[in-house]
Amino acid sequence: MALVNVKTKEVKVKIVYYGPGRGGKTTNLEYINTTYRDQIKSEMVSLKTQDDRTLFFDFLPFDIGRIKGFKVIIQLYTVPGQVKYNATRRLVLKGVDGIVFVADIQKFQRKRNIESLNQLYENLKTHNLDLFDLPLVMQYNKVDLRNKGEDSIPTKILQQDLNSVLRVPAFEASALGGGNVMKTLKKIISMTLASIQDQLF
Amino acid sequence: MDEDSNSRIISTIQELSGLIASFENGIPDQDVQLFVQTASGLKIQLQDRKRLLPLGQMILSLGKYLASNRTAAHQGTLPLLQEQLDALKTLITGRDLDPAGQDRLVKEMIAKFKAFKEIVVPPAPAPVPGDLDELKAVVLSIDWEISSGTISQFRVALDHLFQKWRGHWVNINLLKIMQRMVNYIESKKDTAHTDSIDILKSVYIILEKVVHQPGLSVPEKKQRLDQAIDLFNSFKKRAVAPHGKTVESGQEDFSQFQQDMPPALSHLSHETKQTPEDSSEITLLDPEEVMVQPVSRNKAGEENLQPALQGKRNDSPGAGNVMENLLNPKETEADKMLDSIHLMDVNSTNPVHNPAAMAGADGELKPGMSEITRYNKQSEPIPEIEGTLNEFFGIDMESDAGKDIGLEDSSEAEALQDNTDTDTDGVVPFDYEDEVDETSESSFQVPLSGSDDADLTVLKGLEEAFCELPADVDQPDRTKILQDLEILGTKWEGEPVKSSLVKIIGLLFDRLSIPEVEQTSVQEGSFRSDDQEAPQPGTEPKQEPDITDSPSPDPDPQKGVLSKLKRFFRF
Amino acid sequence: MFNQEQLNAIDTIIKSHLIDSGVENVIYIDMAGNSITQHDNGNSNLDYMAFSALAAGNFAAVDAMAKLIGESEFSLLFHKGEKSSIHFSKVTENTILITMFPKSISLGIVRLKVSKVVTEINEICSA
Repeated sequence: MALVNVKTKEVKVKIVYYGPGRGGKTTNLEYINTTYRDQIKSEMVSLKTQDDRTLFFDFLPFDIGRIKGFKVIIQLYTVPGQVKYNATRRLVLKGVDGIVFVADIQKFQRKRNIESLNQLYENLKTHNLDLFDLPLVMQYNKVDLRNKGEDSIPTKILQQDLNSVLRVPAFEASALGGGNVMKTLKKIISMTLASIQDQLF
Repeated sequence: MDEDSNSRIISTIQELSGLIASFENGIPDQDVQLFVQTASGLKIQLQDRKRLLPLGQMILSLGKYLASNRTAAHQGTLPLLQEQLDALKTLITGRDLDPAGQDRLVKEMIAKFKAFKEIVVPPAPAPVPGDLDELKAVVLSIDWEISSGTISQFRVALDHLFQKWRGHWVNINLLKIMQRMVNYIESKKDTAHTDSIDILKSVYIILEKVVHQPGLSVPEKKQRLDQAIDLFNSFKKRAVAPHGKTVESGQEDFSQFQQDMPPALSHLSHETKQTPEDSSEITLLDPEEVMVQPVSRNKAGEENLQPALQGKRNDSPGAGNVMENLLNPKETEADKMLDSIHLMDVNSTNPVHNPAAMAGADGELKPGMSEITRYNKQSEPIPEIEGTLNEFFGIDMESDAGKDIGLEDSSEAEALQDNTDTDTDGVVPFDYEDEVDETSESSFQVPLSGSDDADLTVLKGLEEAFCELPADVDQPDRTKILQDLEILGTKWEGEPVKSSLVKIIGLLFDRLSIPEVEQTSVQEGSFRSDDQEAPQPGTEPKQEPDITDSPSPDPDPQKGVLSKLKRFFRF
Repeated sequence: MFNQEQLNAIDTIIKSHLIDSGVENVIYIDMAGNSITQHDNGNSNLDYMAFSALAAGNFAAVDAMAKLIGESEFSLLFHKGEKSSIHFSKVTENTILITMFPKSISLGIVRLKVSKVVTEINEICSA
């Protein structure tokens, strides 16, 4: 739910990076935070466990500038991916405006990718949100592992598993090195703002 | 004067002595009350005589004790009373006593009184630290929560200690200070000064120190008490009204309004002039309500004049969903009002419909905070969005693909850049398939680039050419048009929608620009899609229902291309 | 959500009841972690955005815990610090008021004042 203050001409949108555990959601944000350190003036908030897994959420807000006089603040969140943190995931999804689904292309993650997306749908329902109504971008992360001979899921299968019903933009990516991280981000921001532009600009 | 007052005092003493004598046979209520009354009068008479005043106080005190206990009073009460009265008489008459002797007598009487008091009212046991447990608990709880419950618990704890520490005046006085603080907090509630709990805790700490140090001398205890009193007094000053004047509740300071100023209309002579007692009824405004005055409140019976959707969530229908929402059941009056606004807009000629919840009837955004909860996924982003994002992230984003991930194998880089796997066996194709193809620069180009301008120029040219086409298109013109269409088709190859439209136009034009007699033999013109072959001359034309089947034969074959085009779309 | 008039009134209430009484910071947020309005006593350099996000997460997590143990909600969410403490209070179903105050002000007083602020904000919302 984007929040708009007409007097101060400010709009805040919430974009959540969602996906199975260890899929690269936090890595996406870390890459964004590092690469655009000068432009992103706020600090990234990361609530992690001792073994570096997201416990609650990562949070990275930044101001992208003015569009039609409105100051646009993007708030990026990640959810904890581990199965046991579903209650927390549900909390973080509250008020979401746009979603990046970060799938892990490693073969053993195939089932988890699908389960995670199904659960996303259910979690959004608890907030009276419909996944099909929200701006969404797919990211198939860790494509660099293909080069290393790791067993990975072909993109075609990923599309089939995850995007055959939704039919949303999809990006292969390598968050560790930054491949397509920014394009994913730019796409979701663009889609999210476009989805509310008729009410705003 | 002195003689007079002395004689009055002597008279009072005699009266009291008479009453004491009568008490030997019984203590009727009326008489003992008279005794107390008279003793009070005696005390007043002795006000100016400092040396004698203690005697007056002791006599009164004994009288009250007698009145409350009557026949149950200690047997030594009456003799002591008489002794006190005799001593007083001696001191009044002043015979046979020098000042030192007088002091000695007074001290002797005081000592006897105290001894009697100790017999009658045994002193309370000395306070011990354990006595403070209950009080400490309520002090801590009131620090966290101020409610009627905690305050009454506080009072109960204080009462227990008042009883227990009877006679220990330092402790009692400290408790009294705490009692006053609690009374203040209870009366003021949320407007209580923020230091009030702090003062309460500080006084408690002083009390705790006194109790934990039983060996403290009286002056030392008094010093502690003075400390507490100072805290209390300085707090009182801080807790007064901001302009520094102490405003007692219920009293107002009118001193600044003393100057003479005749009331309004007082210069008029009017028969029914009102006296102050007749003044009309006035309703006072609670000062706490003043702060919310800017917001108009809806009192019962008043019309709700607020704009529609005030405070509601932004669930107004989008431009395309007006009718759907109108048909849904309405929940509140605001929803009905919203519908009427939308209906007005639907029926108006104004094509611009701003469904924003923040918009009033005039369409302008209203100041304030609003939530946007509706998303239109089909919207193409306005150019400003893309421009701002490009500016923020840097326009040259294509260098990301392949290079930044540090891949050696170019085939993997291509996978990131060019997923043209069109083998869609089992996968449902979708609009943005090409988004995965990152080499396509058109994906994130700022829409109004130089190439778009060029495309627009071509399209405009074509439009004009179509308008100016004669009935029979000569070959050079026809070729030119088809060439332009082909250029656009090639350029928009990566954009299937545009590409298809151009192809359709090309095919139609090609068909229509050939004279009628030739159309039966030629199905498609020079502009054809790659997977279609040019039909051989003389072959039967393929029947394409959506193009060749026109509803009626063309009555006038000589009409221009545009008219022919229109025919195909006639229903 | 709020019109400008309501926002102005809320600002006035917070300032007069809380800030002017010595409270250090007041942040009024929604449950998604967006800051609606914030006030301080002039000596604060708090990162409001991060704080709001965390506060909403904190409140939501504790609320979820309450429900797990069969409570509809906890009546007190308070974190005591050495120099400053923070107190959370639900205002409406979708908003939370967070008050940061120094140790010189007791929690009891803060709770009384916050309770008053909550009542008044609700009156504004229903007006």
